[in-house]
Amino acid sequence: MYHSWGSHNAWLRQITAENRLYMNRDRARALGIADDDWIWIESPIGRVKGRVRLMEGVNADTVWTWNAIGRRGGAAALDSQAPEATRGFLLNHLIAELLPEREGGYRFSNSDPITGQAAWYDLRVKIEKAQP
Amino acid sequence: MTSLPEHTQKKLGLVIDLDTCVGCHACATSCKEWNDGGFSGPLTDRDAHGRDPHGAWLNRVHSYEVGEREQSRTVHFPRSCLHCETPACVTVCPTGASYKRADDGIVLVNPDTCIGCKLCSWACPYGAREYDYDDGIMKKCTLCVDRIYNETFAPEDRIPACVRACPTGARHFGDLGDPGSAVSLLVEERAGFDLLPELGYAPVNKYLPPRSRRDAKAAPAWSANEQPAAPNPNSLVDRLFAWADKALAR
Repeated sequence: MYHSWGSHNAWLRQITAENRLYMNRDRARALGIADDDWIWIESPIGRVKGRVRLMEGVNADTVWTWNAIGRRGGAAALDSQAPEATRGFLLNHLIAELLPEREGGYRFSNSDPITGQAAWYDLRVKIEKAQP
Repeated sequence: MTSLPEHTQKKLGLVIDLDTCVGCHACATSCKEWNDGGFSGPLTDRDAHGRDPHGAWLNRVHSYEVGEREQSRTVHFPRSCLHCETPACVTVCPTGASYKRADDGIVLVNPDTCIGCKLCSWACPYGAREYDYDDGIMKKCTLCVDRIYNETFAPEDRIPACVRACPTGARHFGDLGDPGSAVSLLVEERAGFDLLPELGYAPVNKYLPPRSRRDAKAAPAWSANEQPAAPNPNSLVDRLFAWADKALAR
């Protein structure tokens, strides 16, 4: 969809101003999560709250979202109650800058060693139902 | 009430391929960009940085998931005026502002005589008409009349903005009244279809259906025991991928 600095664009936010966490339908059912439910997405360094959209075409062990739509209220000159702030969420809060310690205690950057692309490696998260 | 031409010399329209559309919205944004300054411009934007941003778009994309489990697929459906042969949006117009052109079949709105009564948006079953809150009139796809006949443009640019922008080549423009045109042949070859033909408005625009899945029905599911083929040491490409795998896996 679009990324970062585009997310306050007056036209693009008419296409979508909030993001969902896309989850496998069967897996969600097994976790007691229904379509449109609010959930906590938790990683080793933090958690964010968002809403799910269940779908068939996503691997049961994977979740995904359109990232970089969620914003703090008032950021980018948006209304403090804009959907980006009240319903959107940002996965960046779950992703560490550095990878876990390797042999010798060194922590490599969490980026592609060739291109530098950030947040390159897999991140395991826990999903649980939340109150709205 | 407004009359329709008895016959149009051409039936200009779009053919949209639902097989290759990836739902990127480039057609929607390029449409909005062109028409914001073109025949229909400016297009309204309301509450642009607020709680409920909305505005007039002459082309929108809707995405659906169809089917269950391994057989599911995502279908992206771009939606704009279909330039029907017998459009109810024109015949309901009380002022004659909505009209269908006899020479090329394009359905347009005259902004000087439109009173914004919205009858046309009630009559159109495809939701193709949009009310402009700032101008107080209806806006709709013009098939980029201000591009397709514009001789100051290079020939490849004399097509609707959405067709020009589509990165997957899923949109085609041409005369669907000419059975030998490229678009007519495409419709013939790919079994193009009308939206809601039972309503009888005879849309000119056609949609090409998604192709069947290669693994449709009886195909065996992917097995976790299957291993990818070992790289061929004589293949430069295989060696490159093997090196990339190794570099990325450290």
